[in-house]
Amino acid sequence: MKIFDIVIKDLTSSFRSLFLLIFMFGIPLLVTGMFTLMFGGNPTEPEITVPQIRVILVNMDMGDPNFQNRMDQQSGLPITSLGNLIEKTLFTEETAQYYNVDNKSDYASAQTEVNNGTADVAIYFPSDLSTTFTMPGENNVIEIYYTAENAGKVYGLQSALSSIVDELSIRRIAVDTALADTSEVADQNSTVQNIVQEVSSFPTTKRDFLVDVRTLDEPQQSSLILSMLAPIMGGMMIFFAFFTGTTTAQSILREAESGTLSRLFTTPTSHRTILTGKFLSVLFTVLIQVSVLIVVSHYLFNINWGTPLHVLIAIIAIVVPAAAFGIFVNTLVKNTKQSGAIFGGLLTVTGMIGMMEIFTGGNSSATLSKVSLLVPQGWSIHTLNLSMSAETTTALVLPLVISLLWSIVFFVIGIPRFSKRFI
Amino acid sequence: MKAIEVKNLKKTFDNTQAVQGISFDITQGQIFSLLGPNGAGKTTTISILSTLLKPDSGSVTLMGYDLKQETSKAKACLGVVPQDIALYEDLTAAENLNFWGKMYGLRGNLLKKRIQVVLEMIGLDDRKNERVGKYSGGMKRRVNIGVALLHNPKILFMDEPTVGIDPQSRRHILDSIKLLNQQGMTVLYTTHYMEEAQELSDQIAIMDKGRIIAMGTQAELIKIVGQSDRLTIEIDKDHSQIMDLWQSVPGVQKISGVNGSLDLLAEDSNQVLPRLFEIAAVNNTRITAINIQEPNLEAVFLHLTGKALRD
Ligand SMILES: Nc1ncnc2c1ncn2[C@@H]1O[C@H](COP(=O)(O)OP(=O)(O)OP(=O)(O)O)[C@@H](O)[C@H]1O
Ligand SMILES: [Mg+2]
Repeated sequence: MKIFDIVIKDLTSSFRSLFLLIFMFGIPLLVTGMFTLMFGGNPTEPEITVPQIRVILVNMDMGDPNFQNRMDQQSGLPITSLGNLIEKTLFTEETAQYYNVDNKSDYASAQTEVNNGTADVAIYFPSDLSTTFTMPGENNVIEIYYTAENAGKVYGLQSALSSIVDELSIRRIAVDTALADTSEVADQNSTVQNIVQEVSSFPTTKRDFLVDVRTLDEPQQSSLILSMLAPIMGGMMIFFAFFTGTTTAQSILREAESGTLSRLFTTPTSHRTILTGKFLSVLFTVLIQVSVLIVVSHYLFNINWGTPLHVLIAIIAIVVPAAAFGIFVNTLVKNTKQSGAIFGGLLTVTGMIGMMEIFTGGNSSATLSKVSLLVPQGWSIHTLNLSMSAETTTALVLPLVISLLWSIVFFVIGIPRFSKRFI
Repeated sequence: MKAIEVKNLKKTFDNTQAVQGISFDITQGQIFSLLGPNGAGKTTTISILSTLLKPDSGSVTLMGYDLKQETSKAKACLGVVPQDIALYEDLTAAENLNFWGKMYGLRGNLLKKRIQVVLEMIGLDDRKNERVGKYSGGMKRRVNIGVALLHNPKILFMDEPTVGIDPQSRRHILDSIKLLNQQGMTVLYTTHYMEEAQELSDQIAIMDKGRIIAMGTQAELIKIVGQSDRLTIEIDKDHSQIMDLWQSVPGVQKISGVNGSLDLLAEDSNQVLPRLFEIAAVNNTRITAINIQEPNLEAVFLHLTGKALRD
């Protein structure tokens, strides 16, 4: 196919031009890279990963008749002892991502594991924990064991445990007071039962309050930078996609001036084939540029552009209008000498307008953001933003259609202008 | 058979009448030169013949195909070497040839073979992988010609292919054209160098201001100014005595002299010269300088237009 021979020839030329390569790939990636450096983020590890704390729980609590037949409000499972209650309060489904809990029955070997570093912390509930709780005047100790270097790591766990114990202690005082007030064994029993019931049915909200998992060094800042990086990269990519469209379409003018277009016309190749080849060259160049930028920035800056289908739609909504725009603006000038200033102006003005949506932080209700939709770049950016914000596929259809409509308008005006000139 | 037939071609740009009704035929296998000064309309004619310009009127057939009706068949017979180098400077010579070959419809092994043949013909096989942009002017010219030869066309248009190059490259190009012509290629050649037209052409059309002012073989054209050679001879004595003796030599048509310098018109300078030397020797006269001017196209152009071909 002669059309693709022309495309391949043009792609070879384009990708041999250092100038073009710098603008196609260098600047968008460099600018985004500079932003990440400026804001001190570490773009290669932006995932909020908190290392799991390895806990060995030695729960020896034998329980107490007062604790029988209680139900855990959250899980609906029976609570058999105070130790059991504390365990369930401390280690819930939500905290499972922070704690890796291993139940064991030997406290001494648990301590050894902590010493060896195979576990971060050991917690010990004595066998009479429940019984002493229901007996006036009795004291008991919950042990938490960790090495000094892990102090920071288990800080959250320790304070959560303390707050539960504090809460229990307040109830214990109530038990002591109630038992001191009455000498009737039956009354004593019912008081203990009431308190145990109250304790074992800590409302969910209270549990959240008690178990406040704090992790140090939470990289919240990083996600903030991430939220800025994607629009910056996206904006750069679209600005330079339109730049590439314009510059590569300019090769039609350059070929006209260097005589190669005339020479092509003397070969047994139809004018339509030649112009179609030139147009496709523009399209493919921008397609390669945008695809490469999407992939590279995804790995380099960990930008999540959206689902593959959405990204594909966004790529179409960028590449097709960028190519069509490039071809169209080249019909507005007589020669390449004129083109520098005119293209620079056009690209800058329309590009700036199109990027209003980024300046308003993707808030599409803002007036500025609406203004951006006056230019094709605005619709490309809008489609890309929707792809990133994980909207439904249907939400992307309208901006895609409008991007393609822009392209059709450019083609309908541009192609006859070129044809008239060269055919 | 006529390879090219041109009838009454006219082309006017805004207010320049570039081509004003020219007609000519070129027999297959001939080299035909359009000789004319800058602005004569040579490139305009070639552009019309290679479909780059639409004539205002007139008709063209190439290998029997009407250029207007059977454009693609006509074009397929045609190789065009444009006056200005038309190549992709960021591609290598080999890549240029490969691309242009494909545009002429060549593929695969045939294309590879033709590229090789052409590279050898233009003498650039050893530098085929360098970018054309880095070539010298002469090398670019050679690639520019090579492109037009890839599909081994029946007709070759060459628009001033030797402008601005060194004598060695020019020699190479002229020899290649002769070789291609011997292999049967019909060549339409434009130039404003009289010597090139004389060396190459079977037929010459002298163009000026959009018109063909004279056309024919070199001999036919020269007849226009007469066929005498002009001899200028200087001697070490007064001219008057020897002038009378030389006048009687057969073949000398006219003689005049001043201060030891004589002007002669002769039918054939090479036939009369030995006799002139003999007479001079017998009369103790030394000939110190001789200038022979055979009639040429320059003289024809001067005769027809009243101005020099190159100004
Ligand atoms: N595209 C054009 N627009 C306007 N005038 C033109 C155009 N092309 C050629 N001319 C004019 O037509 C006349 C013939 O030009 P042409 O290029 O055919 O001459 P040429 O014989 O090839 O000259 P040269 O030896 O300088 O190449 C000139 O006066 C030129 O200025
Ligand atoms: Mg010319």
